[in-house]
Order: sequence, then C-alpha cells, then structure tokens
Amino acid sequence: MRYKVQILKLIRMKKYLVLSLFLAMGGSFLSCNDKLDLQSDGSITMDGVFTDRNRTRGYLNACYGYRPGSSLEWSSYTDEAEDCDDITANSAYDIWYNGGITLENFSTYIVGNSPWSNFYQGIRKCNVFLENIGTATAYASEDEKAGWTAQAYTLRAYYYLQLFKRYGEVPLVTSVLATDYNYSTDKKASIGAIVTQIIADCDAALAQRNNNDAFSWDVLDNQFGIMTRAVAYAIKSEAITYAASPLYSDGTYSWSDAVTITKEALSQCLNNDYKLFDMTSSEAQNSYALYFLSTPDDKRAVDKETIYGGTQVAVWSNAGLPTNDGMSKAGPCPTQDLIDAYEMANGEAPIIGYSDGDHLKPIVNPAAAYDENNPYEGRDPRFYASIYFNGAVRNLDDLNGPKVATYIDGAEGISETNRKYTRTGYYMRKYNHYASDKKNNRDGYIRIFRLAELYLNFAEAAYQVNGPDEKIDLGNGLSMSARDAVNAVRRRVGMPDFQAGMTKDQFEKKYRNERRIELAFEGHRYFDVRRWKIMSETDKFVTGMRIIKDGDGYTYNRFRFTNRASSADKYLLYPIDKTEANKMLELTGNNWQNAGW
Amino acid sequence: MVIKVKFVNNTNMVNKKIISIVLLLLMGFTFQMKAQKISSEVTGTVKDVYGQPLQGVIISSGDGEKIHVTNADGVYSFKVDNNIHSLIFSLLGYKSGKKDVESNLDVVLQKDSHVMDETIFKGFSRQSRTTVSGSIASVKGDVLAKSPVATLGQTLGGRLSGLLTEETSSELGRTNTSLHLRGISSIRANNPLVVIDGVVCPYNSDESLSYISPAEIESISVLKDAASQALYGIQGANGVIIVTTKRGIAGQMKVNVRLDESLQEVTTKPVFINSSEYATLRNEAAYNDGLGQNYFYSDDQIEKFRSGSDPEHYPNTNWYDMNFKKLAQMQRVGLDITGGNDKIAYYSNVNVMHQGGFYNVDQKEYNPNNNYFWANARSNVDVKLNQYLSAYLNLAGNIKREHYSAAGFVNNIYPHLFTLPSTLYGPVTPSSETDEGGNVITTENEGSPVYGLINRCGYQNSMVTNVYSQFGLKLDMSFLTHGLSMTGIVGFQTNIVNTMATNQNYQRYMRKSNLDVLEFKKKGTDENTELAYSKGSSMYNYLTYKAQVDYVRSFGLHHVSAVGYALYQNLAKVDVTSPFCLPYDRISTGAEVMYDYDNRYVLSLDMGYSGSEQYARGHRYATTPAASAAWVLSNESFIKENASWLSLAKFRAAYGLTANDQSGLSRFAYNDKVSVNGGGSIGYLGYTTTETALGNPNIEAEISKKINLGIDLGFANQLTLSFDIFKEKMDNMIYSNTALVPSYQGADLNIYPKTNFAEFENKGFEVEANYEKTLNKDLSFNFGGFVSYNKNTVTNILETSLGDDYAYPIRTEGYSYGQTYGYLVDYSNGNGFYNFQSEIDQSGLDYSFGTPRIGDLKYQDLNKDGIIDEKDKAPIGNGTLPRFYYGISGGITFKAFELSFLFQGVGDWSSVYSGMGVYETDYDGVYGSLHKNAWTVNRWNNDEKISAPALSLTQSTSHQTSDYYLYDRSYLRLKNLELGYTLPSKIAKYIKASKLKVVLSGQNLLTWNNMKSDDFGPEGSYGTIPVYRVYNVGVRVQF
Repeated sequence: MRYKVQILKLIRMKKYLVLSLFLAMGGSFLSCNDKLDLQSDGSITMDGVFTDRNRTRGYLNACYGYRPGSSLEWSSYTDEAEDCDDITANSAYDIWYNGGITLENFSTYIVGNSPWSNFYQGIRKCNVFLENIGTATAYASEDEKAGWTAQAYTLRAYYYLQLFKRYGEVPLVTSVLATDYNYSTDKKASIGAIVTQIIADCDAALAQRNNNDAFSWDVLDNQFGIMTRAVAYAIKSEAITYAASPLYSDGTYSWSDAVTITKEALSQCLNNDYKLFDMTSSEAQNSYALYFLSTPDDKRAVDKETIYGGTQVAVWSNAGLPTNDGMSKAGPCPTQDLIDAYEMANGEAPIIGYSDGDHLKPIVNPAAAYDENNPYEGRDPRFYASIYFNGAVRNLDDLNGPKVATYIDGAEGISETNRKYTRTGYYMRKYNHYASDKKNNRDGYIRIFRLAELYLNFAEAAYQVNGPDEKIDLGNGLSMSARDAVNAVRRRVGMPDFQAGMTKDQFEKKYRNERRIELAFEGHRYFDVRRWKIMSETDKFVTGMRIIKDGDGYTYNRFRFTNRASSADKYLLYPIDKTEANKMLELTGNNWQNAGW
Repeated sequence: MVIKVKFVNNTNMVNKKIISIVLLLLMGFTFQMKAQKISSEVTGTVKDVYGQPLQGVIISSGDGEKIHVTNADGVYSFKVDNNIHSLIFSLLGYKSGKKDVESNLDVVLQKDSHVMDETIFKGFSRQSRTTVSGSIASVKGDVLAKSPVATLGQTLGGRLSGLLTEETSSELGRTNTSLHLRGISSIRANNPLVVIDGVVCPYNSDESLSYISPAEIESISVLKDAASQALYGIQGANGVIIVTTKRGIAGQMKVNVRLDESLQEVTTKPVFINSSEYATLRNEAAYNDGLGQNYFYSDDQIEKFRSGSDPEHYPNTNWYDMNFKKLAQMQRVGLDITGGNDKIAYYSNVNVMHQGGFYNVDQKEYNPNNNYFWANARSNVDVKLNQYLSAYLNLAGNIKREHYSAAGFVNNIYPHLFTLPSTLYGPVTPSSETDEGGNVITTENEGSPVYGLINRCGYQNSMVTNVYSQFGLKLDMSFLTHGLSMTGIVGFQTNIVNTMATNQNYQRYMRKSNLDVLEFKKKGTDENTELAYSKGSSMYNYLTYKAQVDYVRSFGLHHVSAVGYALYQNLAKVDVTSPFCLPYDRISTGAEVMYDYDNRYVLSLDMGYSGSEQYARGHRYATTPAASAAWVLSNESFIKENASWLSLAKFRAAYGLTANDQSGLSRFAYNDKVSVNGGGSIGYLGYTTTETALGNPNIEAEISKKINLGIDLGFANQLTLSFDIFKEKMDNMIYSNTALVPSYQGADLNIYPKTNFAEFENKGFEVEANYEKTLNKDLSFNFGGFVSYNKNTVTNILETSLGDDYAYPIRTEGYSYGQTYGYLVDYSNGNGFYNFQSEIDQSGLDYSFGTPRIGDLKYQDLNKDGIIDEKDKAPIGNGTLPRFYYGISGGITFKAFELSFLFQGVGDWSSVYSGMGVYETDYDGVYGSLHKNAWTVNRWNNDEKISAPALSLTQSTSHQTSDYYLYDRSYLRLKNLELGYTLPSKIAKYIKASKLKVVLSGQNLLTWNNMKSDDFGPEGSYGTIPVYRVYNVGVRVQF
C-alpha cells in the first residue's frame, strides 16, 4: 500500500521537469546509432567503386591481374626439352622427372605454382565487374562501357580456358558468392558446360559494339595486353579444339562443332587484317625466326600475326649458351626427339621410327636424304630458327665466325654436372637474338595466341570431319581445306605443301608433327600431348646426342635419359590443391580430386 | 525548461546533452531547494571488545550516506540532521553496529572475520558482501601497499582469487604485468576491462593502472561472473577490474607520510661461462660437427685461459659483471591528506618515485644510465552543494620523466650481456703510441655489443604526462521519492609522451684471429658520430560521459535497489594512420534491479545493452541479460538459534550473458575496403582498384554465456570457506572460417572476412579459505589463501584435418588456446640421445630437417612412416596460460609488531623454450648452464650426467621444438614479507605525530621452481630481464 501512496504522490507532484530529464537522458542514448556510424573518412567500399570512372576502369584493370605469365619452362615438362636442372637436387625437374611429385609439393614444382585460386580470383573480379557495370553510375560513354564489358567477358572466358586446360572439370562460378553461400551442393561442371560458358562469354563480348572506343579489332596506343575481338575468337578456337579432343571430350562438343567455331575464328581474323608474319631481316635466318625476335607491342603496325602477345624472354640467360658471359643456365635443352621431328627441307620426315625401345636406333626415311653423320644438313628452316646445334653459326652477322660446339669438351659441350651446359647436345635458339648479352637483352617474345594456331586448330577439326582435302566454306568469301590451312603455315617458311590425297591417319601424323614444330617452345606441347592422350608415349623418356669430335669429323651417339615418372596417367591433369580438395570433401561429401592424385 | 529539453533532443551531440542536463540540474535545484534542517551534536567513542579504540570507523546514516570517521583515539564528534534517527558504525572486519541517535553514544564493535558487511563497489552499484549473488573478489589498498614496488600491477599477484598475474617483463619501474581474470573467454588472450572510480578505461589499461600508486587505492574488486559483468555489455566478457581510489570523510585532518628506500637485485642470473670453459665447449661443438679436435683453440691456449697467466692475450671477460650492476636503488615518498566537514571532504595524495640506473656506465660526455623519476598526485574532493545536490571532482595527474640509453629500455640491452664470449678481449681497444684506442670491441656475429649499446648510442629523455579527471554531480531526488538519486559524470584522460632522443654511431672493432698478438681490425663501415638530436611525440585522449539513476530503499525487511545508466565513450588512440586515427566510440546502457528480503533471499537482475562503431547498424548492439540469486542460510533464525557455530552459510547461483568487442578485427570490419592506385596491367585504364578487405556486414559482438555456482561457509566466526565453480561458453566467437571456404569462390582467403561461428569454452573453480583469530588484545593472527583453476578449450573453429597420415591431424579443436606442437623424444634407450652411430642406422628414421649425429635427440616416429617430419608432431604442454594459480597469505599482530606474508604460485604450466641460451648456436655460441654437460662420447661412456644434446656450431636436428625443451614453469614464490613495528606513541609525539611505524619488507624474496636450469626464472626466458627481488626499509608517519 505504501508504494501506491508513493506513486500517487509522485503523480501529484507533477514534476514534469524531472520526467522530461529522464526522457531526455534515455532518448539521447537510444537515438545514438548515428553517433556510431562511420563518418566519411575517405575510405572506399565496394559501393563506391562503380560510381566513379577511375575506380570502375581501375577495377577492370584489376580483372586483368591474374593472367598467367608466359614461360619457357613449359618445354622442360614435355618431350621438347630436358632441363639442365635435372641434375640439381630437389629442383622442380629433379622432382618432376623422378616421380617426387606429391599432392603437398605439386604447387611448388609445376609451372605457375598451382594457379587454381589465382584464376578463380580473376574470375570473381570479372563477375563483380559484370554484375555492376550495367548499373554503374560512373561517367563513361556507352561505347566505353560496352568495351569494358566485353573485356571482362573475354577475360572470364580466358581464365576458364586456363582452368579447364589444367584441371579438367572445375566448378563454374559466374556470379559473386556471398559470404554465407552454401557450398555443400556444389559440383564440378562438365567440360561441356565450361566450354559452353567460355563460348557464351566470348559471344557476349563479340556482341558488344565494334569500334575503337568499344570492343575493337585494333590495339591502340598504350593498350598492349588488352582483350580484343581477335582474342575472343582465339579463345573460342582453342577452347573448342580442346573440348573435342580425346582427353576432354565428354560428348558435348564434336569435331564438327569445332569446325564451325575454328573456321569462324580463322576467317574473322583473316578478314580483319591478320596475316602470318612474313618479313625478313639480316638479324634472323628467316621470317619465322624474325617473328619471334620482334615485339608484338606495336599496335599491329608490323606484326599482324599476333593475336595476344606474352612477355619478353631472356633465352640468352635462362636457356643460353655458356659462352655468353652472364648466362645463368642452359635451361630447357632441346631433345633429340624434337630434332628428329624437324622435317627435311624437302618435306620428308628424316626418321620414321626407331628400331629399338630406347630410341637409339633411328629408322631413316630413305626418301629424306638424311645423313646420320651430318644430321643437321638440309632441314626445315624452322630447325635453324629454333635450335643451336653443334656447328650452328653463333653470330648471324659473322657467318664465318664462331660455331656452336656442343661436342664433348667443346666450348658449349654437353655436361652431366654443370647446369650451364646442355644436357642433350642442343640449346634453344627460338626467341634468342645472337647479340643478346648481359648488357642488352634483345631476345623476343612468347605469343599466347597467334594466327598460325588458328590455322592449325581449324586444320585439326577439319580433317577429323571433312578429311584433309575437302574445301570448307569459311564465310566471308574464303574457303579452305585442312591441308590448305597447314600449307599456309608451311609456306611462310618455304616448306613444301602437304601432298593431296593423304588418308586421315597419314594426315593426322603429319599434322601433329607440324603442330609440334611450328608451336615448339610456346607452351602448347604440354597440353597437346595430354589432350591427344599420347603423353604416356611421348613423355616416357627423352634422348640426347653425345657428339665426339674426331679429327675434323664428328661421331654422333644417341643416348637416352632415364624414364620420366611424370609420364604416368595422373599427370594428365593438375591435382586440385590438397586443402581445397579436403574442404570440398568435407563440405560436399564428394571427392573432387583428379584421378590418380 | 521544457523547451530547453526539447532543444536538447534535437541535437545529435551527446556531450552537449549531458552537459545541458547537468547544467539544468544545477540551475534547477541550487536555487529552488533551500530547505535547511535543524541539527544536533553527537559525540562518543568506538572500541572493540578488548576496549581498544578503533580508528577509521565510518559513521553513516541509515541511507548509507557517509557522515564522519573516528580518529586515532576512536573518538567522533559531529552534528547530525534531526531527520536522521539512526547511525551505522562500520569498519572492515567488524560487524556493523546500528544505533539510534543519542547525544552521547559509545559503541563497541564485534569482530566479523567473514567480512560480510564489507561494501563492494561493482563500478555502477554498491552492495554489501552479504547480498552479493555473483562472484567477486576484492582486496583493500593498504594490503597492496605492503609490496615495495613501483607499479600497481605488481602488487596484485596472489591477492585476488581468480586473477592470474604474470610478470612478463620486469624492468625496474617499467614492469609489465599481464592480467587474466579466470583465464580467457575466447581464442584471444584478452585482458580484463579496467574501471577506475566507476569510469571504464578501455585503452592502455595496463598503463593507466601504472599511473595509480598502491597508496591511493581504497580497494580493488574483480568481477568474475555474468551477474557482475553483464552491465558492462560488450566490454565485460573478459572480466572487470574495479579500482576505487580513496576519498575523504568528514573528520579531523589526517596526514600520512610514507618513506621507502629499496634495494633491488635480479632473482636469476645466467651462469657465467668462463673463457676456458667457453673455449672447451666451442671445440666440443666443432668436433661434433666433424671439424676435428681443437678446431678453435689448442689445449695450450685453453690452459692459458684457465690459468689466467696471460690475461691480455687470453682474457676471461665477464661481460655481465662489467656492464650490469648487482643492486639498483629505488626511493619512494608519499604524502596524503584527508579530512573534511559536513560540506566538503577531500583526499589528496602526492607520490614521488625515483629509480636509479642499473648499468655500469663509462661515458664522460653524457650519462646514458637509466634514471626514472615519477610523480603523481591525486585530489578527490566531494562537496555537498545543498541538501539535494552534491558534486565531486577527481583530479589525478602523473608525470614520468625517464632517462635511458638510446638503445632503448633494458629489454633491448639485457640479451646482449650474453652474446659476447668470455674469451674476447674488451670492452674497448687498448691505447698505444700510435693509436689512442677506445674503440668498442665485438665479434663478426654481434652487431650490437653491450658496451656500445650502453655507452655509445646516446640517450633519450622522455616525459609522459597523464591527466585523468572526473567531474560528477549527484542529485538526491528524495523529494520525489525516497532513495532516488541521479548522477552525471564527465571523465577525461589525456596522455602525452614527448621524447627527445639523441643518437650516435660508433666504430666496431674485431680482434684478429692470432691470439698471441693483441691486434684489432675495424668491422664494417660504422663510424664515430656526434650525437644527433630528434624529437617525437604521441598522444591519446579519452572522453566519457555517464548518466546514472540510483534507487535504494528499504521497506521493512524488503531491500530494493536499482541502477540505470548510460555511458558514452569517445577515444582517440595514439595511431596517426587511417582508419586507426578515427575515434573509437561506444555507447553502453544498462539496468540492474536487486532485491533481498531480510538479507536472506537475494535476487538480482541485470541487463546490458551496448554497441560500438565496429559493427553495422543492424548488428551494432548486444543485449546481455543476467540473473542471480542467493540464499543466506545462516541468516535464517533456525540456524542463528540452533547452530550458531555456523556463522556463515550462503549459496549463490548466477547465469547470464556477457559480451566482447575486442575480437582482433580490422576497423569497421563490416565494410569492404578498397584501394585505388595509379597504373596497372593495361596502361590506358589508368588505375587499378584493389579490394584489400571484404566486409562482413553481419559481424557482431561475441557473446559469452556464463554460469557460476558458489557456496560461502563460515565457522565460529573464525574460519571462512568459499567455493565457486564456473563455466563459460562462447558460441559466436569471431574467427576466420576459411578452413571451410573454398578458394574457387574467388575472394583471396587472406582478405576473406571473419565471421561469428566459432566456439570456445572455459571452466574452472576457485576455493578460498581464511582463518582469523584474535586471542587477546595483544595477539591476533590470520591465515588464508586461494586456489584457482581454469581450463579453456577451443571447441569449434571448423578445423579441417591435416590428413590421416598426421599423428595429430586436428591441432586446435579440443585443445587449449596456444597449444604447442613438437616432437616427442624417444626415451626407450634410457636417455633419448643417439649414443652410437649404429643406433642411428638401425632406427631407420629419416629426419626431414637434417641428418642426426650421435648425441642428437631421437624422436618418436608417431605415424610410423620412417620419416620424422611435421606429421609426427604431438601436443606438448597445455597452452599459453597456467591452469592453477594460488596465493597463501597471513599475518600475526603482537602488540606493536605486525608480520605479514604472501606466497604466490602457479601450477600445471609448461612451455617449450628455444633461442639463445637454450639452443647454443646463437652469435658465437651462447652457452647456458645445461650446455656444460652436453652429450659427448666421454660423458656417455663415463656415465656422467648429460644435460643437453651434442653441441653444434649451427642448427642441428636437436634444435627443433620438442618435449626435450619443455620446461615446467610452475613455481611457488614468497612474494611479499613485511615486518612492521609501531613505535610507542610518546616517541611519535616527539615529532608531533600520532603514529610512527617502521617497516622492513621484501618482494619476490624466494622462488621455488622446477626449471631445468637456474639461468632464468619461470616467468622469463634467457634473454629477458628477470623478475626483481626487492629489499625495503620504510617509515610510516601519521599526523
């Protein structure tokens, strides 16, 4: 009862002032959310990116940041080369050749160091960009926005191409996943689905406006590295060629699909001023050699073959001749197998097989005019452009000057102990300018995509479907057979045409050899032997040539290296990083790991 | 008035509002309430049962308002308003006495060894210990002041049950004591919140504590459970330390003077390896490494070192003794004045501390020795403005003037006392006819020789100014309803550090390798330079507003009290870079209602509601409710009447939530962070926009659910026992969950946001006991102590297995925070070493980190794959924190003599050590005492004691994290001992004092431990300055 009295008393007292004070005090704190909000501090959140022109294009620039670097190293992981560092304990090649690759150390020892998360980071950036550019309020013309959009689509396609080449089936992420996204029902996408996405992205890019402000064929000033219409076509061409190949084919895409896409890619490029590089200079033996010494960064003024250029290499240092002061190592040393693959200048294969399992006894092609005691005479011009062999002219401005000496105890002699000397009897010459040295690197550039690949991709699809000789309408007034496409590539270096009338099998053999030679040391061989599923043969072991100087003459002794453990089937695909696979096993209950790992 | 209030509502500025409110209060009531009451005089004496007068008895009104205090003779005299009908006489340790007002009132107080009438301050509210339903430990300032040390943190060890102290760095005057209350509540080793006089101190609380001298402390309480922490909301989960400084009480002015003179020495000192021993050990290591006998020194040379026959060429240099003093001095002077009348009461305090240097210096141009001079002053003033309105002002200022070597504080220098071998001539090159010499000597491997660090680097002066002040107004609103009051507080702290540094460089010389000539060559490119001057400064400030409404009322046997508060904090930290320079804001509100019936049935409900700018709007505030109850069985009449021997029996239970916003997040973690820079892959795009962090808009404060059950028992008013068990569980702990976020989602996992998903558990118990007995008026004693145990477990972080081939594939979940992993030594052959080459060969083991030699450790191949690698590592030790810690204290008072002691210790604590002095390979070989008996073939063959693996010059396979290097760090320490003698009062009167006391005291006097060597103590390591031992003589004078 006493409390009631108190309360009544309180009311009677009508101390509104005091009540107001209470309310003011309580109210002031309850309405204090504002006080805790972040005041404008100059920091930027994602909300503030697509409202600003520089941040928006800056974000697109970030999308580019995950492209794999071009590298000479790929060759050492194939039958193109035996790496000089196979003698260096615990080097990548020691581990790779000798079967020391495990799930834990794979990322340390493979080219590009397990790029899984790198590519997916690039894909996410593209996803963010594509989800926002449509509603972006940043100042940009419609043409610019169209161009930026197309670039992001092309980049996403490019990253998925890189992923499926390496890993096969991978998850397909085409939107930005929220932090509370549930991964438990995720699955790896089929190759078919991935390639469908790649083609769709490229088509989405190509559907954007075609002008210099938007998505163009041209590369303008300061635009080296930009995605162009040609790149989108090249991505489609390579993706479909891979998708139809034995390793990747899941029935979604046939070779006739590949014909459709590769022919469009080729004809579009040919119709837009792309052509094989055909210039010559005293600095190189032929146009093929000169091409790989020239820079692709010329707004397509001179180099009209390159669709997408890579970085400059330093063969002189990283795969160089030990007589060049300052070189660090002999790098990927071309194998005898590759040497044997170069045809004679008359178009005949010098060697058509080996009579022994160790590949030490070649079966010489009687039609080839190949002299086993003078093996480097009369070969395909691309041989001279690509290989330093025993007796090769060292400096092209001094034809009577020093000759490369890879014979035992020669100045560049073969060695089993020193990484500066060749392991096989050969050094790499492609990309190498004879005058490059530690003062001046004049070496050339690896190409990521170039027109010759588009010719070859088309040829590969076409002979599967239409045979070697059937003309196919490319559109735009062009028609071409598989053989025509290969011949176009061969004619650039003056090699004779493939003969008409070959069977599909005969053509396939010649085609694969042609692709091996034309694209040597460009990073294609690694994937070609896998997609054709011939790795277990080609990569089982490689051979070299030990040359003994014998008075004025030489004795040539083939030898083989030990078997490479890396020819096992599990090496067909990269393993998914162990932690990633473990996460997915835990999240989905499914083992995502590739076969054998 | 109402219009004014509306205006207040319209503004956003909280500070303006509160100031306006305070002003309103002042204006409204200073002039309106003029009622004055008639008063009458009351006098009397308060004594104990032995007739001894009691000093310091607080006399308060029935409402709890302190009115007066008795003097040294137990006498009081004051005027009391005639609306006050009864007075309460209270003194800690005595049962409070309630008497009706009479003009002459003598009182006898009964001893209460259970101290149940103690008033506990919980930061927002006060409570008598009887009605505490949560878990709170407290200690009085005069107990802490027994420790002859300079910083408050050092005094806390062993004093408060549940509070773990670890003296991590013991530089004189700069000690760093880490505090953990009931261990840790999450996977971060967060420290408890410090609250000083009711104002939370969320930043640099260690440092802020060190600005308060123990003499100023009235009491320190630790709030251990949800019932006491819930009000603190997002700042409460790690526990709360309530520091209350002394205040004045009306009465005669009292002056206390304290003088202390201390000597300090290190408690441990690494063994000195003399030059012949060093040479022998170096040779031994080289021999083990396959470099043959006498690789460094010939037997002849070793003999010359041993005999000391040629000290110039074959010296025996003790770098430690050369550079480091055995004893350092400290002087402290303290003065406090307290007193007041019915209008004003004050407590003022000044303390000065001087800490002398501990180096032997050799520099004529300037003095690089350290010299610390600290002064702090405090003035706490309470003013009664009128019948309803009172105000208080706490002003504390602190000045630290510190002078020290430019090489830094002692932890930068101390390790270098051991890096140079005793075979090295030094410290400087000798002079000759051609060369004046005097250049600092070092070795190839030591760039910072200790002599140079001390004497040739320059010096620094720094001045730290800290001002901490609070202004509060309290309005007694009994005109509205009895027991209602309202308080407004503005508090601020400003801390400025100004440093002037001088630096210089110096030439280093090395001795040439031929020991038979005394020749030196210059090392490196360093040159002698003049002192270069520079200045730096840093500052932080902290502002807080608090408004609080209190209601305390008794209705017969019903006691009700309630608190509602709102608190705004604005903090600018030292950081000058964005986003850390942006102010840190928090808003906390809370309410507490406590009810008890007849001090028998207690119920308390608490609710905190608080938020910080760290979280997005929808997730900003955390609600932390708690409920607790207690039943005081011993206050039931059937116990009082039938079982009076059971002088205390109380059961407590509390459950509730507390929260934590210190989760190791980057600032504004709810936002994405993006940076834009020029350039990038594609030139024409001009810029690159990089996401540097992804935001988690759902991030919110961590909530810890806590339960506490306790029993307090007392027997015959002599023995007090207290048991608490507790369990804490956090279900939304913030952690990186990337263990189950695949990379293919595309965001870099390094910038992936943390989320509230992990789980953590902490549980334990505390037992306290105290026995107190007064035998007669001359002799009394007490004896007591506590044991605390806590064990934390990381229960869920979505950890993924490292793989089936790992012996321990899950390494965090199920273990305590900070679990170490290492190899287990295989002791199956008796000593754990490979004693024969054949033993290595037969083991079939490959070490992934080198090839074992004989005398190296043999590790267990736990996964049986023949390879010793990461996969074989096993849990070693049990985390970062000790599980047991305890204190044992007691005292005897006999006539004028008082003796008190404190033992403090920890148990169930071990750590793996590594680095200099544990491994022998640092610098030119740094050998601890264990290395003297390292494994050699001879020692093995002769069955001698072996205390280290075979020595090596470089890292060997034995230098791995393994249980061989697991040190048991449990210890028992005589932390404090004080003997006091109060001189007869006639002597005191010679100096006009009322009391004169001399004390002898000591800190850290003895330590018992199980460390493998005596080179360093359980709290430090070989290269960190050890805990100091202090001997002190002091005088206490009271006027």
